[in-house]
Amino acid sequence: MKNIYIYGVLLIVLVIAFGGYIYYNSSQTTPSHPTNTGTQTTTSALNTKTSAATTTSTNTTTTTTTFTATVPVLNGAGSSLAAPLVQQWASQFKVKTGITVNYQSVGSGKGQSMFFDRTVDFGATDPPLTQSQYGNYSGNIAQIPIVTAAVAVTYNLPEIPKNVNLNLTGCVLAKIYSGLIKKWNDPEIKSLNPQVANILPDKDIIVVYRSDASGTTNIYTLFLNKSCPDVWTSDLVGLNMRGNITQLPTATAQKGSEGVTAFISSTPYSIGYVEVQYAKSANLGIAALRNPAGSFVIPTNNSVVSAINAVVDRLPSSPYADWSYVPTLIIYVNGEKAYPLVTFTFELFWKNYNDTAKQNSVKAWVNYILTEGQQNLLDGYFPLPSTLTNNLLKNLGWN
Amino acid sequence: MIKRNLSVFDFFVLASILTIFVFLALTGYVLIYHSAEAIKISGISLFNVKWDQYRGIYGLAIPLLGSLVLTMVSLFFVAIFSIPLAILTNEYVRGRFRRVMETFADVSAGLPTVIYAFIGVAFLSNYLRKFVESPLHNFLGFIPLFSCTPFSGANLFTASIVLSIAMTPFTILLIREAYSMIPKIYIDAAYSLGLFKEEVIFLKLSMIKKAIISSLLFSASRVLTETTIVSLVAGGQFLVSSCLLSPVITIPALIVNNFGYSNIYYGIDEALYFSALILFLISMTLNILGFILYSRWKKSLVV
Repeated sequence: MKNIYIYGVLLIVLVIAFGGYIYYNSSQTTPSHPTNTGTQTTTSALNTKTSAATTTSTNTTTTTTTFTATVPVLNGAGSSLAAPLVQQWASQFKVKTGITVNYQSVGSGKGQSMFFDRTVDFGATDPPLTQSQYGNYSGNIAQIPIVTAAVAVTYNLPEIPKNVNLNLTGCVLAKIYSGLIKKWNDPEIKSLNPQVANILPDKDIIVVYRSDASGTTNIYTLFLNKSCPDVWTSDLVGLNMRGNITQLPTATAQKGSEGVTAFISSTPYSIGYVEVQYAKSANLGIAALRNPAGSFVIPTNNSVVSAINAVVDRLPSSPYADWSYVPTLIIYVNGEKAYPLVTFTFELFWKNYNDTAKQNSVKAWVNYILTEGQQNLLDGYFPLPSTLTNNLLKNLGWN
Repeated sequence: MIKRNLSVFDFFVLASILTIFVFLALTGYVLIYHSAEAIKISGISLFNVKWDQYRGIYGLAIPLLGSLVLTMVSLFFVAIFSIPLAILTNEYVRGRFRRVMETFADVSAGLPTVIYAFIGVAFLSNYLRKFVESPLHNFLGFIPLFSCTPFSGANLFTASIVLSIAMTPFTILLIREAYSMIPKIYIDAAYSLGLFKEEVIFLKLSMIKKAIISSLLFSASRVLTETTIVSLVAGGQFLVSSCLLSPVITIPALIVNNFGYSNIYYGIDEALYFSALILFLISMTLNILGFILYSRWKKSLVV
């Protein structure tokens, strides 16, 4: 019996020692020790001016930010579309400023909820606030587009060579998602793809959609509605799929983009929609979508930038403006080379935070995103136009 | 009466038991408190088959039915897998191989279900569809249970197979425990009467029949509340079908996909609390029944 106590104490000591080691190592990596101030206080955690200057200046200035002993932490949650990028930014931002940004990829709907509940400091959402939400919080919330992204219509068709992108239109997709087109060798699909018409298989189309409330679903359903309003009516646009599809035996609902990607990867003859980077990383087939000009376009840097350039003059210039109309503007935009499934992803911030340190951290984070962040993008994300970022920074009103 | 001082160990045991009861009571309280709000919301109904969060209609009949049917089918497979495996490890396998099998069962019982879920979604669903579900449909399609085409591997049949694989080690552990409690004197007596080994096995099985049923009830409770596997491999479709090869939605999958959106969809959290309360009640009933059965069986083991 005595031995058990000894082992127990030993185990506790080991755990504490291990924890201490990890803590010591992690604290070594943060560049957060005062070098020249000698005026540490317990209230102000972050030297705002230094931090802001660091983030907006050239790349040569690093780790000069001065902090007191408390390292600020920003918590964010939301869009799974933005998740890989925000996580990369967070690690670079931490090295640069010492500020930790934690981000949970919980989906846009949940991100909004957690932001409004003040569970997190910022929310990330693919659709901006709706007109009624904007009305409720007008002037108190800054909606900042952080990056341009594209949604890919992706499929698993073993018969189609990898170098061929299947041509699809919004109407064909709307019919597939309504259960009106059931087979891969349907005449409508064949007529759009004469080069592979005779190898399109006589197989049922397995339709995959997101089971959780998702900004990606919102973008996708808006695209279906704009490109084919007769089949996909406006009441079917939203964060969740509704209508026939939820009762189709050929359809399946999967959680998150990861779930949709994994399911399509392992299920031949399936079709779904995910962010471009998910489709690329899983090496899935990506469809070329017909835009209003009649061209079939795949999501590339050029096609996404073309879409943004076509609307840049009509975008709001202030983060406190109503952005609710922007998705309608940008999705299925008219342009010869414009990809029709393009979106901004937004981060939501309160105009004022009670905690000064928090406010300063938020300011540094936004500055980083709209300046250096735009140069440090992952594959599948596209930068915001510089006129837009300049306008946003100018109109933020955080001095 | 013997008096003795409380040791440190006794104190911790007492504290653990109290904590468990407090948590259980708190869970019940939170669920009942939030479910009470559900009564005020007209769209929430246990008998409605329509689910439309945009219109505030939250019919829970289909997910509830899905949960119950999936549990029953899974339990059927759990029984098929676990009872023979328990007999095999207890009666036929000896020595090192037995120890390996037992250790494997012990370790598998402790694995998080997400591992099984990924195995299910990554390859099992596809293979099951190709080699089991499609042949079942092609050859036995005249039976309503297999009458529908297995379009994708995410359906009730696949989910119940993956669930039963996940729950079998846990059930084997419980059956093995019951097996080890059979007094040796009975077994010796059976052999002394001249019974063959197979007859003794049947005798033993009849002796632990109640324990097996109780272990299946405990497993049923776990299957009913399992979330990860069902949300990945059950298909998540609002369908009512007599066919095992069609996609299905369950209450845990509904909760995990929709909880926390009350600022977008009015009343959705209340509907989900209400569904969780129902699940909690069914699960508790199954556990209590299992526990009563097990206690009675233990008392009946008189030497």
